[in-house]
Amino acid sequence: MKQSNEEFPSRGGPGRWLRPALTLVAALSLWEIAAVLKLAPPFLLPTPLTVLETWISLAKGEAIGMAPLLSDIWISLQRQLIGFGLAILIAVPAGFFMGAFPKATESLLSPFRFLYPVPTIAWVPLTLLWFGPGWRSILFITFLSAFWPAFFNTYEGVRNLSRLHVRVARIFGATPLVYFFKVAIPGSLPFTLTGLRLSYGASWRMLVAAEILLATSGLGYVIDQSRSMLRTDQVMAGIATIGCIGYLTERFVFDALESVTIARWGIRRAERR
Amino acid sequence: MMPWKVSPSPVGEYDVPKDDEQVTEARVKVDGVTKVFTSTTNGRRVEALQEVSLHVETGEFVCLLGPSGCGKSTLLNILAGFERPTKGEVLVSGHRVSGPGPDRGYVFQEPALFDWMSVWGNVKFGLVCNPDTRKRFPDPDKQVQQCIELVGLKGFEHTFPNFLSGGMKQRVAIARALAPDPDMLLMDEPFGALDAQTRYLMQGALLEIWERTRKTIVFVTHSIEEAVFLADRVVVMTARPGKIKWIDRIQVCRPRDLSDMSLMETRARLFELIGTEMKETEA
Repeated sequence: MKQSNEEFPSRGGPGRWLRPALTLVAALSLWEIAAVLKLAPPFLLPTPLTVLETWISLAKGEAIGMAPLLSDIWISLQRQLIGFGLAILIAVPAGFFMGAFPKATESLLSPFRFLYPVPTIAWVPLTLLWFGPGWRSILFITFLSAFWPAFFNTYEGVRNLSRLHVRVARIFGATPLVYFFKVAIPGSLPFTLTGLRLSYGASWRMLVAAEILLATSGLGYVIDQSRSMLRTDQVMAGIATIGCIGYLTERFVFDALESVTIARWGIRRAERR
Repeated sequence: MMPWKVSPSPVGEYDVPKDDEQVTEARVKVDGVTKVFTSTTNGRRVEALQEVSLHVETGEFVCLLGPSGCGKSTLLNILAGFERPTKGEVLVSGHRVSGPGPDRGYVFQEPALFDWMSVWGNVKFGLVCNPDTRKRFPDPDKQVQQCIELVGLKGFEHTFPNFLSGGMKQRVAIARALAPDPDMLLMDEPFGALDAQTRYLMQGALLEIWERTRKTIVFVTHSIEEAVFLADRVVVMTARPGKIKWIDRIQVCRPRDLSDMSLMETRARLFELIGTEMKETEA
């Protein structure tokens, strides 16, 4: 049966892609005008078209002193997936456990509350001392930045489980396992999914920062290396690539995850942290 | 001369079984139940219920009526097994209540449905929760279908709760409570959050379900009209500490017309009783 609800308007029709596309065209036009009017020297403000050409040559591996872009993308994605993956493998169960037993784990929560507001970039010097530059440092930084949003959102999700649902489960004599899999996990999913989305974004941003500071490959390295060669067009092409990958993941991984779960159930996603 | 046809009985008359047969007939026996809550912040003791005794017969529809804070929900929670009485005991189907169980279906004021399960999944939940019910219902799907049809939601089996109206959600909650074939239904202001129109429809639907299943129902409400429209007996409770102030047996045939003379009189009487009770709390 087709379901519709005023709160969840259908997002079909040409408006779905036309409006964002028009906004993009308008922004690019402004940029083009600024570049053509030479508001800044061309080597600092290349035109969009130049950036596109640079991107193509980067992608083909024709740019001087640069590896093919795809290999850097692949390296960055690997780092991101391993760091983010490890983080959520630990953060989600930990958040779940601590949310389920808040009294017993209270003492653990305060160090977490203390560590959470420390910007991950502040860990970079310490990371350098511990692991030196290289993949271990990058992994540690990516892991750390992905850990907190996933942890705290899952924790909140479990704390926010309905007391009435607990009562319903008790009336029917639900076993702990049934409660866990059929009530607690899906019930906290809006929060957990928001946590994963935020963790992904945070770790992607932090990965690029870590690559600028600690790596000799990856997208962060590409833009920093281009900067040192005064290739503003390459820097911009790199930034565009970083943005596109972030956007595509949001759009095709997390939106898709939501559309088969909470959107299908008619639940809005939790807006936290 | 009494101006009303149905003579009201003083408190206690129903609580004393007249003969042995009635003892075995009673589905619910509440005997001398007192409930004292101790505040965790300042240690103050609040007596929510004081020496409440009440028998409910099998198949009977009883409404607990009273001003807010009179302990009617506390009594329902004790029947459900969510709360333990400080003094006294509660027997349901001859067994002492020591905790919640599938023999006592419960409908909350909020539907409390699982948003992530379809109507079907929600109703089925109580049948697949533990090994005992699974043994009792080897073919749960048939039972689920019957319960969904009973509450008039055929065709909505695969809809998720957030796409249903408030009344339909409450129908699902009733079907879910009925699914494991409980001995009785406990309902805590189940229609309190619905608009007047839907509320009226739901009252009719509930009576139809009750007439078809003949489940014992204990129904908490603060609406006099609702109690008079639904119940075999209306139990009026006093403000804190909650005691039974009055029991009215309503013998008017269903479907009832609230403009019926005797029902008007019952309403007026209950209104006065509750009015005095509320004045006392304010004083």
